[in-house]
Amino acid sequence: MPTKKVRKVLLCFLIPALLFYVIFWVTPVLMSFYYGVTNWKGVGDYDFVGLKNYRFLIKQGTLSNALFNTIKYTLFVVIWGNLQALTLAMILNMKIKAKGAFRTIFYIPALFSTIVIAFIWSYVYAPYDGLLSEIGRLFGSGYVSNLLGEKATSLFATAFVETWKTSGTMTIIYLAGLQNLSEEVLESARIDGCSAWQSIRYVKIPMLANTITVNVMLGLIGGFKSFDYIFALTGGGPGTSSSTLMYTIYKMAFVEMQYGKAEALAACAFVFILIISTITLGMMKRKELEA
Amino acid sequence: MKRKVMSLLMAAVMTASLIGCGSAGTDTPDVEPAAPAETIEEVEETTDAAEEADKPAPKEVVGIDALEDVSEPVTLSLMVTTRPSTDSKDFFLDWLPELVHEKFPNITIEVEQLPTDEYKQTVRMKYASGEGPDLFTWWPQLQAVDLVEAGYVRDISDFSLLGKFDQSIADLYAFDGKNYGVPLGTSFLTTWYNKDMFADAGVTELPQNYDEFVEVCEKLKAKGYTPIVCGDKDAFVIQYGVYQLGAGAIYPDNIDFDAQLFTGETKFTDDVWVDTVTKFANLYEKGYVMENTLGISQQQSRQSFIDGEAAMIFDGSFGYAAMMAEGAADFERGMFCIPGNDPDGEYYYNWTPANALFTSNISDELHKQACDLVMQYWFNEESPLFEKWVENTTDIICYEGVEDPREMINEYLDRYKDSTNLYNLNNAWPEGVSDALTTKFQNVITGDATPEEVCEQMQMKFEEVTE
Repeated sequence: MPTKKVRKVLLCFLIPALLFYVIFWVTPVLMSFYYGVTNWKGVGDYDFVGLKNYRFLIKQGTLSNALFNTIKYTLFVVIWGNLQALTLAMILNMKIKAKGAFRTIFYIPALFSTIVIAFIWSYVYAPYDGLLSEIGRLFGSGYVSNLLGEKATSLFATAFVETWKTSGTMTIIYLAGLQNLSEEVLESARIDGCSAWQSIRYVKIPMLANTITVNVMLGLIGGFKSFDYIFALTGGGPGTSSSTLMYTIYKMAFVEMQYGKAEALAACAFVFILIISTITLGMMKRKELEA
Repeated sequence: MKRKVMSLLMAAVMTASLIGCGSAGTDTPDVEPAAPAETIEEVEETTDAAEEADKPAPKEVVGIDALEDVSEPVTLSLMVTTRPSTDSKDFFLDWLPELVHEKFPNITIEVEQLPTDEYKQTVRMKYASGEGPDLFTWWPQLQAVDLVEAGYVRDISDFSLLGKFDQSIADLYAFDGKNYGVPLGTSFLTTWYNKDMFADAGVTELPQNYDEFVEVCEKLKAKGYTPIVCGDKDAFVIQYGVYQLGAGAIYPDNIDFDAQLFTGETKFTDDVWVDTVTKFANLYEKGYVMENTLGISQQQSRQSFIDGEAAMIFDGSFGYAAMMAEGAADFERGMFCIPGNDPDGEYYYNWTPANALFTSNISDELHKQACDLVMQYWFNEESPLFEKWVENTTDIICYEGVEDPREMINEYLDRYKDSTNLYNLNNAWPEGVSDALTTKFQNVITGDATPEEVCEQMQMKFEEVTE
C-alpha cells in the first residue's frame, strides 16, 4: 500500500493527461453549451440569443427529424450488424473447408476506407446501370434500383453499407468469444440432448453475453456518430430523410454557417447519447450478471 | 480542498479558452457589398462618386524584369477549392508554386485544397484563429462580406494591374468602394444539349421563352428521347436549373428583388418565386426529367449525357471539359440558357463572376510584400505564369485583351450579348438559403412537398439567418 506522500506524487503524474483531457475534451463540450446560446457564425461577432436556437430546432422539426433518423439508423446497425456478425461467426467456427480463407475474405471490407466503400456502393445502388439494377435485368424483372433516392429506403440502404463494412470486425470479436466457450459445457449440453438450436439459444448466446455487450456498444457508438456514409452516399437526402444528428450538425455549421445553432444541436446530441449509452450499458451489464 | 483546486483549474482553463475563442467585442467596420442586385454590366454605373474618391490611386505598373525578390526566404500559404484531377499539371497546385519559386527563389508557395463546404469553414476558422492563408480564392458579393467586415482581407484598390480586369466584374468584389479581390474570371450556368437529338426531334430553333422550352421537351419525349437528366442526389445541382429559370422569371420586372429581400419589400414566397419553382417542378411532373434522378450523382448524370442517354443537362461553363469528353455516343454539343420568361417577357440569362484572389490583411509585412510580388507577376501579360494561367483556367478570363480559347463559350456569350445577364442568385443571399431551396426541392421530386413549401422554407431560412 503506497504511503500518502507517494500517492500524492503519483497523482501529480496524472496532471498532464488530465490537463490534456480537460483542454481538448471537457472544455470543448462545455463550450458547445456556451456557443449554443449565441448566434455565432464561426467567424466574427456574436450575440447571446438565449434559447432561440433550441426553439428553432424544435419548431423547424430539425431536432426530431435528426433524432428519429439517428435512432432508426442505430437500431438497424445494432440489430442487423450483430445478427449478421453472429451468424457469420457461427459458420466460420464450424469445421468447414478453407476456414482460414473464408475468415480472411469476410474481413476484407474492414480494410477499405469509408470513401472507397461509399464509391463502390453508390454504383451498386445506382439506378439503371447499378449492380442491383443489372441483376434485376438479368432475371428479366425490369427492377430499377433507387434505394438511395427513395425516402423510405435511403437511410437503411446507407446503414446496410455500414454494417457491411463493420461485419468483419464484429465477426472476429464473436469468433474470439465462441472459441473461448468451455468445451465441457458445450459437451454436457450435447449429452443432455440439446439440439443445435437449443445449444445456441440456451448455452452459447448466454455465455457470449460479454462479447454481445462489446459488439452492441460498438454498434451503438457507430450508429450515433453516423456521418461518413451519409455524407458520401446520400448527403442527408432525399430532402432530410437520411439526415442523422451528426450529419445535421455538420451541415448546419459548415454549409449554413449557423455555428451557434449547430452547437445547440450538438449539446442535445451529447445529452441524448449520454442517456441512451448509460441505460444500454446498465441493461447489458445486468444481463451479463444474469447470464 | 482537492475538489476546490480542480474546480478552480477547470474554471481557469474555461476562462482562458473563452477569451481565446470569443470575439464578441471585436471592433469591425460595417461594410456594404457593391450592389448585390445588379447585373454584371450595370454594376459599373452605380459606383458612388464619393466612394471613388476614397479609393487609393493604383500604383504604377512595374515590368516583370523590374520585380525584385523579397529580402529573406518566406513561405506563403495559398488555399483553393479542390481541383479537378487531370493528367496534366494543375495551375494552382503545380504551375503557380513552381514558376513563382523560379522567378523569386525566396518565395515558396504551399497550396492547400479542400472541397467547397470544408473550404469555406476552414478559411473562416483559420482567420478567426489568426492563421488565415496569405492568398486564397473566394466568392463575390454577400459571400465575402463577413471576411471584409472582420478585417481579414486586404484592400487592394491600389494594385497596379487591377485596371486590366473588367471593371464591372472587379466591382463585385468591392465593398464601400474598396476592391478586395482580383477577379479570376466569370462562368455561367447553362443547359448543355445534344444537337443531333434536337435535330431528329425537329427542333430547329432554340427556345426563347418557357413555353417554347416545354414544347422542345415535348417534341423530344414524343420522339422517344429522355429530354433531361439531372444528378439530383447531389442536391446543389438543383440550383443549376432553378437559377437559369429564375433569371428570366423573377428579375426582368424587378432587378432589385434580392436587395429588397433585406428590406422586407420582397419575399421568397412572392408569386414570382413560387412561379419559378413551379416551372422547374413541372419538368419533373410532366416526365421530362429522367426517372430516379435522386439516386444519380452529378458525375453519373454527366456520364449519362455524354453517353447519349438524355438530350439535355443543367450544368455550367465550368463543366466544359466533362461535357466535351468522349462518351458512348458521338454527337455534337450545344449550350443555351433555359428561358424563364413568358412569351411577352424579357430574356435574362445567367452569367456570373467566378472566384477572385483575396490576400490576407493579418499577415506580417514580409508576407504582404511577397503576396504583392506574386500578384504582380501572375497578372502581368508578359510573365510565363500569366500564360499558364490563361492556358489552364476553367473560368472565362475577364482580362483586357484576353479571349477565351473555347469557341463554344465565345459563341454562347456572343449570342446573348444583347440580353441582360444575371449572377448566380445565391450570390445575393446569406449562406443557408440555397441549401434550403435544394433540400426542400428534393421533397418536391419525391412528391412530398409543393413549390409553395419550397419558397416558405427559403423565406424561413432567410429570416432566421438575417434576424
